[in-house]
Amino acid sequence: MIRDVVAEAHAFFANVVVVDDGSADESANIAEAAGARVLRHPFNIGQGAALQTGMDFALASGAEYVATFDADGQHCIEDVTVLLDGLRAAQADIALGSRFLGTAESIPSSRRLLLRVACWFTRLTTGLDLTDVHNGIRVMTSEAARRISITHNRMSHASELLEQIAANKLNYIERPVTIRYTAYSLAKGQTMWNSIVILSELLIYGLQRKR
Amino acid sequence: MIQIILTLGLVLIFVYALLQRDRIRLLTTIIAVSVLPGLVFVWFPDASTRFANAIGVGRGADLIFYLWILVSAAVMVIMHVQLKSQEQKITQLAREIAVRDAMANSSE
Repeated sequence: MIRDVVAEAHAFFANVVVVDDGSADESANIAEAAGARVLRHPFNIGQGAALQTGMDFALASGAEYVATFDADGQHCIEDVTVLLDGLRAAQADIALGSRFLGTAESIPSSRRLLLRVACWFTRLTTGLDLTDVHNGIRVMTSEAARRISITHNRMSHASELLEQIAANKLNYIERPVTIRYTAYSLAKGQTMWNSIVILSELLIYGLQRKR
Repeated sequence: MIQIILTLGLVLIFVYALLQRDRIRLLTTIIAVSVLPGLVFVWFPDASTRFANAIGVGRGADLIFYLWILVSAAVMVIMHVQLKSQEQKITQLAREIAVRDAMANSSE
């Protein structure tokens, strides 16, 4: 699975970075063989931490733009090009993918509702007007990437990133992207239980910040 | 007898808290301000009952129990925050290792 995702990405972009967050299987080696630069966390830390590690490496390597892309096969690599073009055209700092502006293939209705609630919550907490707030596909300028620093190691990092867009007053745009709901990506995607975990993480981190 | 044991325990905790004050200031403060009234209540049990009555609790022992719940909850929160900050440091360390390894590989 990871092989196809990396190979597809590599066909479009020269620099593909995969963060191996302490996998016990062969994922890291497979990704490397498929043409990715693989960063290895010595142990499992979380998706948010992995995202920040990848961004740090991209910046340290002199990247001009940084794209984030979930490796579970739910995104289409062509959409990165769409976001990048949109970002350049609008001279924005960050372009976010939205499945609701585009085509979400066979999105379950319970998930649709959950994501709507998440949008409403985001508007309330950050003031950002978005149609999709838990989408892993994004393109940002190196300047924007430098301003973003994800500290929520686990699931609530997507919300944290949006908070930082708001706090840093980054210019953001949304562009339609396709999400493929396959059995594999569904199993890895957000569920009702995850949203409760995310909310409690946000609450805990919120308490901490005020210290 | 029980008063001596309790006093000894409280004093030991107090000394430990003082020694650790540079590391966890908030925890030290909480321990310090709870040990001193604790000692008073150990040696003057009637005082705790009088104080309890004054704030609407029947028995001194009940008051101590309620305060104990409050203090341990506060300590748990502090410990949790400490744990989170440790986690953040470990994350940075792991990230540094991951990025450094990858940079070293690319320069080969």
